[in-house]
Formats: sequence, C-alpha cells, structure tokens
Amino acid sequence: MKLIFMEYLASLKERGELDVIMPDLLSEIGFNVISRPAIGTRQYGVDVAAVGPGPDNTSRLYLLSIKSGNLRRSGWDTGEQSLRTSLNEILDVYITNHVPKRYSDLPVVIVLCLGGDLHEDVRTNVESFMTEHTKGSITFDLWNGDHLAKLLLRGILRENTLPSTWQSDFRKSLAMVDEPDVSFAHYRRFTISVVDRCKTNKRARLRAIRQIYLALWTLYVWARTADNIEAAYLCGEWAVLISWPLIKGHLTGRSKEVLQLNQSFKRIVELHNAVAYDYLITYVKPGAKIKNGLASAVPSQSYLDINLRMFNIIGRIGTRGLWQWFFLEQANLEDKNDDVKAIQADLMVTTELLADVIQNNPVLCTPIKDSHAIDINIACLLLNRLGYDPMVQSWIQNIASATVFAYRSNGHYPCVFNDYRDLIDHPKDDDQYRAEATVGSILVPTLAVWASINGDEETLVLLADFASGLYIHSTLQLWYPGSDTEEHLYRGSADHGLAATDIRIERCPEDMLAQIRSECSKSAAFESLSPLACSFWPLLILASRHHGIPVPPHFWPLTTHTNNP
Amino acid sequence: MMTRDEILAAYAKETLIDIIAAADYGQCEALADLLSEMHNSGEIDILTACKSDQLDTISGSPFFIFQNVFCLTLPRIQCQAEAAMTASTQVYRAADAKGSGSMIGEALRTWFQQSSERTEEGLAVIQRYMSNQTGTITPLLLAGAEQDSRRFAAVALDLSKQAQPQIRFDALRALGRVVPIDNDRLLHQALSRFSEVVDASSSDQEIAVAIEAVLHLLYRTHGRIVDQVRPIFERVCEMPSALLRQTLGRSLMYYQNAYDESMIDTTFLALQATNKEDIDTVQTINTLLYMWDIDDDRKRVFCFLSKLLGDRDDAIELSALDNFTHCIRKEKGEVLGWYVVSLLLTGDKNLCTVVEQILPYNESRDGLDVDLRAFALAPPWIAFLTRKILGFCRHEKQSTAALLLSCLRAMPESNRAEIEDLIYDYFLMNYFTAIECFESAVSEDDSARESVNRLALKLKSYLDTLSKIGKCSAFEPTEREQQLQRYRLADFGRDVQKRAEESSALSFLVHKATILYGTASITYLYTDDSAAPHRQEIRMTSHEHVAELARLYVIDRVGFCVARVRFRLERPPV
Repeated sequence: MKLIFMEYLASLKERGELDVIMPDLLSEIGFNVISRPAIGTRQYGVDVAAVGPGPDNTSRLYLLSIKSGNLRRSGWDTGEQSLRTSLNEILDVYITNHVPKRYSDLPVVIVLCLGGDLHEDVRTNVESFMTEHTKGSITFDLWNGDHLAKLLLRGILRENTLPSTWQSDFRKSLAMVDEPDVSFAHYRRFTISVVDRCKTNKRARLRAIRQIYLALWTLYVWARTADNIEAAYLCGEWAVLISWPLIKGHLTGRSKEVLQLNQSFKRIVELHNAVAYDYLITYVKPGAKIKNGLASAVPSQSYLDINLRMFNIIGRIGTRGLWQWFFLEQANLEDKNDDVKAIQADLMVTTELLADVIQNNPVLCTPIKDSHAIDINIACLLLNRLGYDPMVQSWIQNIASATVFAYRSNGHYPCVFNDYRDLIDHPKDDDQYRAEATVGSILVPTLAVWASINGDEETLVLLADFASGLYIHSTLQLWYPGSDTEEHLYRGSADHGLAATDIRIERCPEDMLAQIRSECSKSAAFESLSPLACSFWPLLILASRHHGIPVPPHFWPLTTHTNNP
Repeated sequence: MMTRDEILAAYAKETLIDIIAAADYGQCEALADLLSEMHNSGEIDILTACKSDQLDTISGSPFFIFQNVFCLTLPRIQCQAEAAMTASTQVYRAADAKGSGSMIGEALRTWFQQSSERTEEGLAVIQRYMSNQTGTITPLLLAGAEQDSRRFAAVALDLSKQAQPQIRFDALRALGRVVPIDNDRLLHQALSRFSEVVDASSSDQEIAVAIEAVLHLLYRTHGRIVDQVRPIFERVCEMPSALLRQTLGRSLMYYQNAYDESMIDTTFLALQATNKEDIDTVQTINTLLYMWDIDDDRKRVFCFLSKLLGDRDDAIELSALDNFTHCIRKEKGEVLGWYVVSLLLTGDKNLCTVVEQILPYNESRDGLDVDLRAFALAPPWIAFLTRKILGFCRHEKQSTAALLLSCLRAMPESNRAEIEDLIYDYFLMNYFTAIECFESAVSEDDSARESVNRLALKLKSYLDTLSKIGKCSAFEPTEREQQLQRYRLADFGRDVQKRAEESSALSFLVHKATILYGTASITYLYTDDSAAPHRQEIRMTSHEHVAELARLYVIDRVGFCVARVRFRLERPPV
C-alpha cells in the first residue's frame, strides 16, 4: 500500500493538491494545524504551519514548504518559486515576523516537504543548506514521498479503523481505472464499508470522510495517469453522496470538529467538481463545437452506445453547471466579489459548452431511454437559469417531434428499459413489445412541462395528441420525493418516493403547469429533504443524475414565459 | 435404350406410355424411330395406347419426355386421320393442363401436311364429331391452307361461326393465319368477322382470340391493312378486361413491326390500367419491357412506367418486373441516369422508391452519367432533385455521387451554396470517402470543379479536427456492454450466413462439406462407372465484401431517418 501512496503523492501537483492533503494528514497524526495554504495572501515560504510533537514528545512548530514531485536542481535553486527561495523567506521573514506570539517560544522545524524524492544531483546542496542554517531552536527536516506515505497509513488510513477488505477493494479500484464500472464498484464497496463501520462521533465521521476523500484523490491521480478519469468522475459523485449522511446532522455549530467536518465535506465536493471540470475540459470541450464531433469521439460503432453516452454527457455538464450556480449563490451571500466573477465566468463557459454540445450533436434530439428525461431536465434547468430559453424551446420541440416520429415509424423510440441487454434489442417489430417498451413515461410529461415553461403551444399540442392517441397505453407520470426518500436517496439503496400517475398533457401551457404546481404544493416531503434544509440543493440534482431518479418537479420554474416579468 | 421386346411386352401389358415416359431424354429420337417403325409394321398401335386416364397419372419431367416422343413419332406413322386426331386430342388435353399443348398441334399439323387426303379426311372427321375436337382444328386448317388457302380460309370463316365455342375459337385463331393476304375479298370477310366478334361477343376469351388473330393478320400483311385493323383494335383497347390487356401486351411483343405509332401508344395506354392482382398481364409487361428499346423509346417507356408503378393503391411493384429491372440495370449509365432523374423528379413516392431498386448500378460499366440540361431545370427543381437523390439513393455511394455531381453542374454558381450544404450534411457526412468519387469525376474545366474543391476543403478541415479529437477512452462502453455487442454481432453474422446458405441455389445442386482443419480439401470425382475415381485437391479461398457504413446511421439514426423521410415526402416545387 505504501508504494501506491508514494506513487499517488509523487503525482500530485503542488498547488491545490499536495498542499490540500497535508493539513488533513497532519491533523490525523495529532498535529494542530495553525495555517493552511491560501491563494492571494503572502505566506513567506510557509505552505502549512502546525504544532506537533517532536521525537522527544516536546511541542514544536513545524513550518512546511511544499514542493510537488521530485526535487531537482531547477526546483531547488532557480527562480522565485524555488525551494531555496521559500526557505530563505521562512528564515528571513516568517520566523522573524509572522510566527504567532503564543508559538514563538517553541522550537521551529522547517520541513522540506516533497511529494516525490530528493534527487542526487541536489542532495549535497540541500544538506549543506540545512546544516548551515541549523542554529539554536531552528532545525530542518526532510519529508519525502516515502515518509508522507507512512504518515498517511499511520494517520488518515489507520488500518485498524478500516474493514479488513479495504486494501483489496481499494487496490482493485485503482487497478481497474481502465474499466470504470469495475473500478467504481470496488470504490463503492470500500466507501460503504468505511461509512458503515464508522462510529457516530464526530471524530470518527471526520476520519471516514477524510478516508473517502483520500481514496478518491488517489483514484483520481491514477485515473489521470491512465488518461481515463471516468472512474474518478463516478467515484467523485458517489463520494459526495455517501459522505452527506455523515455530515448532514453537523452543519451547524462552531466547534472545531464541526468546522473540520464541514471543511472536509466541502473538499470532497470541490474534488468532485475538479474532476468534473477536468472531464469536461479534457473530453467534452475539444469536440463540442464541431458537428457530431463529440458523438464521433465515442469509441463504438453502435448507435446505442453513442446515444447513451451523449445523454450521459449533457447530464454531467448540467449537473456541474448547477453546482457552479450554487457556488455563485454562496459567493454572493458571502460577498466574495472575486470569487463571484470567477465562478460567473466559469458558469458561462459551462453553459455555453452545454449549448454547443446540444446544437452540434443532433443525436441529443432522439433519446432512446425514457429515463433520459432526467439528463434532459438537468440540462434544461441550467440553460433556463442562464437565459437560453429559445434554445431550450427548439431542443424540446425537436425531441418531441423525433419521439413521435420514432414511435410512429417503430424506430429507436424512447423505451422504459434501462438494462443494456434490453436496450440492445430495442426496438422489435412486435406490437405487444412496443406497448411494453412504452408502458410508462416521465419523458413525455417532462417535455410537456418544458414546452409549457417556454410557452410553446405547438409542441404541447403535438404531445397532447400523441399522449391521447398512439401513446394512450402509456402511464404518464412524474416522480415526487416521499417520506422514504431521505433514507435511500444518497445511496440509491432502494426505490423510494411517489409517482404521480394522473398526469394529463394539457393543450394550454398554463393548465399544464397548474397541475404540477398543485401537486408540488401538496408534496411536503421535498422541503424536508436534508440538502434543502441545509441549503445544499445541488446534492439532489447530483443524486438524481447518479442514481437515475427523476429530478423533483419542485426545481422547475413553474411559470410560462408569457407570465414571466 | 429400349429394345423391341421390351416395347412389345409393355404394349401387351398396356404400360407402353409408362415405359416411354421413363426413357432418357437423349433417347427420344431413336425411340420415336423404333415406335413409328413398329406402329407402321402393325406390331403395336401407338395411338390406341394413348389413353387419357393413363396420361393423367404421368406428370413433370416424365410427361414431357412422353410428349416429346409422341410429337416425334406422330408425323412418321401411317394411320387414319380420326385415329391421329383422337390420340392428339387425348395428349393435347393432358398437355394443355401443363401448358405445353402447342407441340402436339405442330406434330398433328405436320402429319396433315403430308397429303391432301389426310386434310380431307380430317375435315370429314370434324364435321362428324364437331364437339369432340380439342386442339385439332387449328393444325388441320393450317395444314390445309398450305394446300389450298382460299378453300381453307372459307372453311375457317365458316367454322368461326359455329355454336361450339372451342371450334369457334380455334377457327378464329386459324383464320388470322390462313386468310390469303392477296385476296381482298377474303381479307375483308375475315376482318368483318373479327369486327363482328369484337362487337358482339360477350366472351373476353373469344375477343382475345379474335384480336390476336387480327393482329397476326396485320403482321402477315406487313401493316398494309392497318387502317382497317385500327378501329377493331381501338375498340378492344377500351375494354376493361385483364385477359384482353394481356393479349394486347403479348401481341405488341410479337407483331410490333406491323403497328403504327398510334397503335403502340394505344396499347401502352391500355396496359397502364394493369394492377398488381393481374399477374399474367404483369408478367407479359415484364417481358415486353425487357424486349423493348428502353433507350430510344425512353419517354414512352417512362410515361408508361410512371402510370403503372405510380402512387395508387393497386399499383404494381417493381419486383414483379424483374426482367425489366435486370434490363435497365445493365443499360448504359446515361440511360439509367435519365430514368433515375425522371423518376425522382416526379416526386411520386412509389416511383422514387423504384430508384432504390434499380440502383445499385453495375460499377464496372461506364458509371452513371446524367446531363441535366436535357431536363432544363430551374434552381428550385435542382435543389428538389438533390434532396430526392439524398432521400432515395443513400446506399449507392458511387451512383449517388454521380447524380449529385450532375446537380452541381446544372446549378448556377450563385445558387450552389444550398446544394453544397445538402451534399455536405447528408452525403459526405455519411461517407467521408465519397469525396473521392467527386474529385475523380471532375476535370479541370468542369463546371462543378469549384464546388467540389470547396466541399473537399471543408471536409478535410472537418476530418483534421476529428482526427485531433480522436476517440475518447472515457466514453467507451463498459466491458459488459462491449461483450453484449460482440455476442449480438456474432448472432447476426450466424443468422446472415444461415439465410445465405438457405437461399443459395448451390445448396440444391451440391453436397455441402464442412472442413474443420486445414486450408484445402481432398475429394474424389467419379467420372463414369468404369474409370477409377479422380483425386482432386480443392484449395479454400475466402471471399469478403466490405461496405462503408453510413456514419449518420450510427451517430444519429433517428435524426438521419427523419431527414430522409422529409426528403422523401417533399412535394415538387410549384
């Protein structure tokens, strides 16, 4: 295991990766972290400052200067970002002026913290520097990847707190990153064991979240190396969802452990969003502006594979965009103007990316699964919030026409099946099969709602005629959260919620929306869902996308455009 | 070869017909010699041996062998006319049911031709036993006419007025063949009689016989009497009978040289009313079109086809015209191209679908080459044609490229953008390599050169970008999904192979052996009974056919189908 973590640590970048791990790592081995990495404030060479026991068990002030990967001559002594420059700043400025008063009497250990190892060509220089500057209460220490891995195993991954199978599951999740579904299955098993064995106290929960986070990070790094971060994406979503029950009861309060819990959970959310960003930028963006570019990038000659992947992609872009919308709300609330601008810009890029993908890949007008309504809905929610209404209108119109056409012509019409084995044989030239394949639908009501929101009566009438004609056998429905939803939503452990089956496709937009509004107002379970109560609503979108549960209708802007101010 | 004793024994046991039917086809001539010799020497009576109840028990190939031997034997034997006619009637009835009666008539005619006594005797038999004569009157009248045409024409005229329908039909049939064409009086009488039948008869069969006979007569006169025949002919063409249409179609095939243009047009007009239930006429049309000059007479043929196959409930399907399909598909590229364009320009769903069936074009010939100048199309029509080509010709890359290129050439430069976009979005996006068809077909001074260059440039830029993006491993289906796809593909492959084997003519002709190991097989061929078998090694060869998959069919199947349907249903510009 140590080798795995050494490899992992060596692959971490300095900013936002290795320096983010270190505070948790120190905290878990009993250090008190007093300063964390921050962007925009000068730290005079110190990335992390912590108070911890020395070899003689006396307290010392550890000042960590962190460098990613192996340290070579250029990293040691070339330019402003070199380690030597950082160490000089610590000696000249930090120790003299910036050590908090209550720690000023403590012996100082300046730690050269390396993700990798010290290269031979610079070892003499480093050792000479350390010898030369070791004076009085100031000493030096070198923590390389090997040492950090030991600390990880001793600290965050205290093996006695983990299930006996953890090494096997964890190793398999890493080894199988090339087969994302297998990798995810092992990661999932690992995290479920961690959470299920976790005691109810905050400390144990904090450790469990950190273990999930560390495992996710490690997997992400391995996936990045393998040039396929699909597994990391799936695991990231799951990590957020499985961690939520651990912290949802501890979101208020100012105790150190509560803050640490919150911070650790947010870090999982951030990591998931970083993976999602990486996914979009690396895989989606390059082909987004080209006609059928993204569809062509799917390595398969099967229409089914392309169709499934494309809807999956828009669901992911939509989910990430809605997370950004949430971050924007948070930044606005906290008056973080710089963050607001950056998030806004990022949000615009994501939404434009989504619009490009939809416009350039006509396959997105022809869902093959009824449950693609979930991805369509998530995408529309984002586009709607960002004012892409004409685009949503035209897209929904195209989906509706193509769905009706495909059903009429017994082409690849949306079916209720989700298993690949069933989908591969779809459609069949058999009337009974056709009725079974369309026995129910959330897609048709979803399209009707979006057509209503956009005031698109033509599409609404098309859908109304379809629903009352050829599709009359299909149980049109919408899903609402129920009292059992909170228990099962995050793990997707069982069916939950309620299906409203008495859906009529009205010919008038306002009538269509009125019936949804009415049901929403009666569905109290939604408001009591913990992400809503804790103002963490994107979690519901994430759970919907990940587990294939419809997005609650409460998220819809249930007014028609004509009614909008 | 059968021996005299075997024949005698069979004759004694009344199984002569059976042993004749069991003979080898190659022995028919020798057997006929032996049978006629034995008949003439009084050892057997071949004619009395032909009993209808026995004949009815023989079918298929043995019957045709017997019939062949009978037809070879009959002209060589000495007998009474009545015996010859009775035996012929028996065999004729059995053969007619199997569609091969004409051979018997020819043999009997040859027998009558040998002496005027035989024809006289035959006439007497007919007078005596009028109701029993089936298939004997026409041979008798034809043979008699060679001896005395005036007399036998008068006999035919007389018999054509008899009450018994079969006598009348046979006499009418013979009348058109025996009337001396240099005798105006008899010619006039015959034409009057035909006209009478057409006007007065309530039997389609009788009218069919009469019109066939009158057209035969026209043919014999090399069209000289066309003005007298045309009114009779036109009256028949207006009659809504499937049997008459079939007769008119068949007559056009046989006697076309005697027709004037108006009669040809009238025939085609009558045939247009044929519907898919009228199988015999459809088959006649199939043969007629196969024999017709569809190049020189393309406008008439196209007009006929468009009515015959066009959008109506009972329209016939091109698959019923297999001979014609074969014929048009091996025509010169220019001719096929003309038909394809003409069919597509109608915008008629049925006719446009015909295009799908007459393509693919045999690529080894000179390729489709269409000059749209002949059609004088305005830009909206060229754009319409382009969409029809894209809607109906998608499978045939080479042919489609040729047709689209003709659209580019015909379109003025200022209006090209629209069809360039259509070609790019719905053809080149489907078949990247199709650009090579365009590039290789345009010369330096080709009017479509600029367009092709633009398309090539645009496609190259697109392909460069796609190649930069490459395939994304993160988008790959899971291992399980890939495995399911592989299983499905394998099942599909096995099914295709099974169907191919089942429908292959080879499966009926040869024994199938499956080798499990090796690349060659050893077989022993037995050339004849005496020789030792010949050892033969057969090396296995593999045959493969590679077809480019339509890319949009994989990437955006429903969208692609929607676009195709839109193109297919589009109505012609107003």
